[in-house]
Amino acid sequence: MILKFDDKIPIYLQIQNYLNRQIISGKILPGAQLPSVRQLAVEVTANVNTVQRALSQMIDEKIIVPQRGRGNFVTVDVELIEQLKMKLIDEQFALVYRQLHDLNFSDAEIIDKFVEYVKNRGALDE
Amino acid sequence: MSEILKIENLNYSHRLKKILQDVNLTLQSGKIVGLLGENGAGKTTLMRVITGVAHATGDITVAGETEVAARKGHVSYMDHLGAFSLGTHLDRIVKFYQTVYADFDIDRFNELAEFLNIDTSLKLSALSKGNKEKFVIALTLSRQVELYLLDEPFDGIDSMSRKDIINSIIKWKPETATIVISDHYVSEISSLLDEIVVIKDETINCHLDADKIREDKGMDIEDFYESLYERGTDND
Amino acid sequence: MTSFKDFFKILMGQKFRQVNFVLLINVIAIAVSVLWTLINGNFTNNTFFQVTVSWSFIIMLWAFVRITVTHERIYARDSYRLIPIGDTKFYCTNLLTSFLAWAYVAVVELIICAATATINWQEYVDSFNMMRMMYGTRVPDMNMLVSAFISMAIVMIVVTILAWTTISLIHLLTRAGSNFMPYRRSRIVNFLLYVVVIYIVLRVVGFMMNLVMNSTDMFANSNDVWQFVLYILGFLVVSAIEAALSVYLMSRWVETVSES
Repeated sequence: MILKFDDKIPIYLQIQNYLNRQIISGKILPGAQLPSVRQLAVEVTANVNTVQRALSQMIDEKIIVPQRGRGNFVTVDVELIEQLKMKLIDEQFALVYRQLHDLNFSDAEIIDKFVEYVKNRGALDE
Repeated sequence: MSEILKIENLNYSHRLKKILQDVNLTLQSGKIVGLLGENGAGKTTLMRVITGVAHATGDITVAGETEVAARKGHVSYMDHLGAFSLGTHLDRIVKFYQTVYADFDIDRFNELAEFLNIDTSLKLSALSKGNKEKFVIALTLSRQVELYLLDEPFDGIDSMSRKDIINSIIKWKPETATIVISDHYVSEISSLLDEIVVIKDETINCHLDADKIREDKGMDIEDFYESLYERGTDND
Repeated sequence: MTSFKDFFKILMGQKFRQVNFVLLINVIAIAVSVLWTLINGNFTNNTFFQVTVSWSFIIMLWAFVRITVTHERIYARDSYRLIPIGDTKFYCTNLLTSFLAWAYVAVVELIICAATATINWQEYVDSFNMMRMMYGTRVPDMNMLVSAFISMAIVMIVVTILAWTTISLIHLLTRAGSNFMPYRRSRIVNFLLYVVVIYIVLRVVGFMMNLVMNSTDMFANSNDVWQFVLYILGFLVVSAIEAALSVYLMSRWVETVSES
């Protein structure tokens, strides 16, 4: 996947998001080793320092565990990844919810519409 | 992190025209810095003054060295090869660099040349503008120094070559070295930058962390850069 | 920092290649000229020597001009001025390599002239002896010829060095001076600046040479050799002053051509 940056949002956040999504979607498995900082920098076309900053944030959040002299590894704590997933779902719903709310839909309407949408979408995909 | 470049009270005039006034700037090691400003704002001049091929008043320290000849040993600046006749083979120029710069890393050059698709058996006259620019950049990055000055490296270059050059910068930049890239068109490099330095009205207008601009102002770098000019016209 | 050895190697290589090209043309020119005389039926034993000698002057002049162009360009180009080397070392290496390149041409010319002279050597020796017999001691003997040749060579060496230090001084003064000229009509302004600088430098150098000659005349009007040595030393002192001034200009005022 090629990452296209939105220049309005801090690059390190976008890299962090990108990696989080890869972990959540299982493209990078729990316990797997991440590429080196420079490899990641080349992969996403960003500065090594910026990538390092994104990784530091993820280390602080314990999603990534650095091992001395060996590099960075994705946590094996599935619970944490689950939490990350919940957080992401939360964020996406918050966004949709706020936008629909701004359009004066009631909570019940939003739920109905969403159920209907998923049903149609599911039929479409089959 | 250490100080790689320190400029204090720098003033420069050329042909009775003030180009730079009261410039003060400090850069840390390991950064990629965008030097922004309109055409003719003094970006090239600032780089030339740092290397010592142009003379200004004030103090310039590069990696602890203030004396010009010693400073030149710590700065790699894009040389546009005007001293070589068009019939010169690239091999010979590489040899020139290898002889004249003790810090020239031929292995790194060969890697860069392969990555950027440079055929060094050609003559200088056989290169398109983009290929010449790539060759110059490969030479510049092949020196192992603390400070690299790339003056408008994407000038007149197609987007594919631009990507190659950006990737080679990311790939081959020594960890502790600082690269200054000047450009008057910001958006093509903004995701690459740690910091930006804007030259406006003959001096350093601002020196900021790129992600901090995005975080604090919610602006992209180009909008921010342009806003500096709007503010300028409002005040006049 | 770049060592003298490496910098020397680069500049010498560059100039050596240039003068070798000049010498190649020289060989072709001699061959063509000789062929031409052959075709016209004017060929004699003397032809080779005559052709070589007459070409040698043109070739020496051309070599001098080519070396000078390179010599001066080196002061104003990023490719050279970005090299981490002190200005004094830079200047001296440039002068030394130019001199060696030119001396190389001079020696090669001398050798081919001598070589072509051997074709007809006996005849030249005979006519030389004939002259001695006819005019007696007014014609110099071999010893005097050799010492005349050596002093000529020394004068030529010193004059070439003085020529380069003077040309460089004019060039660097003009480059430095142009920093203080207005942007408008910079071509015309630069041209006028050149005229003024050339005039001033030649006047000052001329004055200094006069000074050298007058003072050496005063010191040693009895001994020819002593006077000659003083002249030469005086010229070298003038060169050294020009060189010192040039190095100062390089370190403070002379900028390279901006290529971007």
